[in-house]
Amino acid sequence: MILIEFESVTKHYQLGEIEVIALDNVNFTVRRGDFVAITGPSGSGKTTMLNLIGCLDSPTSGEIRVLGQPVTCLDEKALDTLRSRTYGIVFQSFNLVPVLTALENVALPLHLHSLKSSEIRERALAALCSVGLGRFADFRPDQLSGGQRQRVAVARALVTKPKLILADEPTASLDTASALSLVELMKQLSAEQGVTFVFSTHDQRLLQHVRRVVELRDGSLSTIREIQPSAEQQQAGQSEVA
Amino acid sequence: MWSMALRNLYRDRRRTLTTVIAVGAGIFAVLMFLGYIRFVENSLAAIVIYRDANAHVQVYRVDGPEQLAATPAKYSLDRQEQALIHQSARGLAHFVRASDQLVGVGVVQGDEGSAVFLGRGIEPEFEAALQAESPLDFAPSVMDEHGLLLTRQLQDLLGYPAPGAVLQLFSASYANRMNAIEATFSGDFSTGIEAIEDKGLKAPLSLLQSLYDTDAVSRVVVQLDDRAHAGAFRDQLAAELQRRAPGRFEVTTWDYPQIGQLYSSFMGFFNMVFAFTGSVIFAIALTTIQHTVAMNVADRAREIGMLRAMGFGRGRIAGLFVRESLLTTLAAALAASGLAYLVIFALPYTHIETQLPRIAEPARLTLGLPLGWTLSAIVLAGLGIALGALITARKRVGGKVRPGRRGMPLIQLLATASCLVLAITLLPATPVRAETAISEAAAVADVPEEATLRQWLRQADLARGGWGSYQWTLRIHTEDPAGATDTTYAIAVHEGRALAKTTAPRRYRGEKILIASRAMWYAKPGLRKPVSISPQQRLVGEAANGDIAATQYARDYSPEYLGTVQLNGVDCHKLKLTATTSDATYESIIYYLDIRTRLGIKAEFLTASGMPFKVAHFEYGNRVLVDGEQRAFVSSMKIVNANFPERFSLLEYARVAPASPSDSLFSLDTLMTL
Repeated sequence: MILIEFESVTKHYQLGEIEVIALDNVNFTVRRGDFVAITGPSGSGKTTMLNLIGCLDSPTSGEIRVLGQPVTCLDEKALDTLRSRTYGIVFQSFNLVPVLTALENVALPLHLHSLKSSEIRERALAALCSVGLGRFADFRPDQLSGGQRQRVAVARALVTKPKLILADEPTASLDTASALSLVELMKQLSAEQGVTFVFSTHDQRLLQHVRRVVELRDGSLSTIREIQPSAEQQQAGQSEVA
Repeated sequence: MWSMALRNLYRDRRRTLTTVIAVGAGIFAVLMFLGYIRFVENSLAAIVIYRDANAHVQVYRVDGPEQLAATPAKYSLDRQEQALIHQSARGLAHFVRASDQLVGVGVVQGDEGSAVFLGRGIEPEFEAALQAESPLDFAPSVMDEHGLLLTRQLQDLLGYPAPGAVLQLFSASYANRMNAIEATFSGDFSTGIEAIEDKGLKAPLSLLQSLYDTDAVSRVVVQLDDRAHAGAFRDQLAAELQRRAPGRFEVTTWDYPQIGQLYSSFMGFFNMVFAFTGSVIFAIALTTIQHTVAMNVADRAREIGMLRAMGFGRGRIAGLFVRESLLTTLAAALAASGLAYLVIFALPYTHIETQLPRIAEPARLTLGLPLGWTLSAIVLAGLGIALGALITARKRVGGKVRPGRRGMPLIQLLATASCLVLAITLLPATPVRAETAISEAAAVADVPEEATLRQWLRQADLARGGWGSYQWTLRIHTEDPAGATDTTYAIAVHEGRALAKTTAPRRYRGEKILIASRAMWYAKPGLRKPVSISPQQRLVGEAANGDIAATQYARDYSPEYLGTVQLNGVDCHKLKLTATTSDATYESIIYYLDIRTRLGIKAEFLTASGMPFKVAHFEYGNRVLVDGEQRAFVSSMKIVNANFPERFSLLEYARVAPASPSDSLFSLDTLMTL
């Protein structure tokens, strides 16, 4: 089942008098259960592509369909609803609310759904436990390490049971071990819960852990590769997460 | 979200504290000002209701409040109406007591001078009972049964008479006849109205009724147990009176503009000051909050972006900032209210005194702030601030997040306002185009010399009894909306002096008017001495007192020739006469002399501003034999009010004959004994 479909999508930015072509005639699809990495050098258009996938931005031309529905004609409120029900988002710099505890941060997206507070707490705690941070529920972000914060961010993305999780450079602020651990966690969640992951990275080491790599160059899609990691790598990743 | 807002405020506690202090100071200022306004409002209401004896509700003849001053007789309440009002009011809830009051004008005269008064007749017992229940401490009236209270300014005009001194009050009665009474000076009072403070006089009702020779009153006032019931009581009383006498009465309350002028004017001023100050304070508080919101949005751009990416709409995120603003305002309001009530509680112990308008003694400052007022002020401030915060937050959250704007809207606002004020102040006043006076004289080819004009005036005066020695009977028929009156005088003139004795109606017999040179006196049985009639007082009645006896235009006025005109087919010289003495009855007169006979056939009496206020028409049907020569003599003079033609006096001259009265007849010393 196709979740996201890009058809001849182009995105231009105006920087003063200069027009920057961030994406140029991109055709691309994401299927349910995909674990996709978008890679490329800085300025290649990775973040723009993620923003367009997440409906945080609109294309200059072309069409984007989410679950088969064109999104360019949706108004602001419909887009808000679409984001809250379809996506989970993980940011490069965690973007946790500093005044809320880990549990409250994870619970935050659930406030957009009509749920009882007990259910909200239950689901948030479950999400937090699923990333291995159940005992850190009452910790505030400044009391957690970088890796733990990013896991909280992943738990927050997961808690609404989205169809697609977008992650913009999720490992950029982490050391290698934490980065690998996070990727393995994401893979595990993808495998166990069937969540589709699309994330951007320029870390070549991580690309060995993903099944599909989309490479961008100067706003154009250069290659799409399918990678099959070794069983040892998979095992190593799982033991680090545990 | 509330919890998140609270924690955000705590996280930025330094900024929050600054905002709370700024907003709290504003709310505190507003609450203190509200308390002061309430203090002033209560005090002014007490002055109007209790000290000025207006009580809570007043009943007039319909249109009375507006028309009483111009036509008191027509708009007064007769005995039957007074009884009806008392009876109707007594049956209603919250009634305490009712009383009759009379207002009127006249001249008060002491040994050192005289002045116009605007008097109010009040029942002393009612006033004492009313003032005893006043919530405000002030010196009560000391009016006794025959005493007069005068304002300090009026006392000054009369040369500060000593308490107990006998003063003479002189005025036209309700029947438009001259009348005078005597009363003793008792003490001070204040009208509370700047414009009439130099004319204020308060007298027992019966005394003023005797001056105006009436048993009517201007209004009935009703005291209630609480001023909060005034509006409802007025409506009930109006309905009851309407049922019993449709269309006859008008019921007002103490805060009716023409009654509570002091209250209305001061409260209008205070409300304006409060609205202005409140607006400025609110603008400062709002700007502070908006700045705080803008800074918070800028500081939390990532957080906002994250929330939007999650699906939080603009409204929800703005709601977070509104919650923060409301919590800040609430904290500020709590602090400000606490401080305000502390100050209000402590104030009586400080013995601070303040001067209230129209109260001679300083009053102890006591502020009261009902909880409802405080809550209303806080709710209004909170709503306004929440709305401002919402607009700012929605704008900032929805658009490109950028650092707080440079420049302060309030400063810009104040700077703009200052520039406007400066511009208005410095703008040269638009030159007023002077009206061009059109002189009819310019069109006149042959202008008679002044000596000739004076000769014409003297000739015309002779035919009206202004010169020579005559006697005649004068009947004055006066009509105005209040009714018609007829009075007959016996007139004797001798070389510019005149004596008029009332001969009818019978009850006014014995009243006399003496004109000697430019002075005029009035006497009647019962007065200890004659009352001097001022030039203004001579204007009383449609037929001025100065018109009763002959006037000498040649002596008192300077003539100016304005050309010739035709009046009812008669060619006339048109003259403008300007008073050469302050004792003259009129400031100026447009006088029309028959070219052929040199007799005055029309006179327009002008006010100081040059507008005609009376017009007189003369007829000369009498003939008198003087030095063997038959001379025309005035037979009638009709004086019409220029603004109200239905008000007029017809003076009919009869039995005109030359006479040789003795000088003693025109002496002030013998006037009381004649």
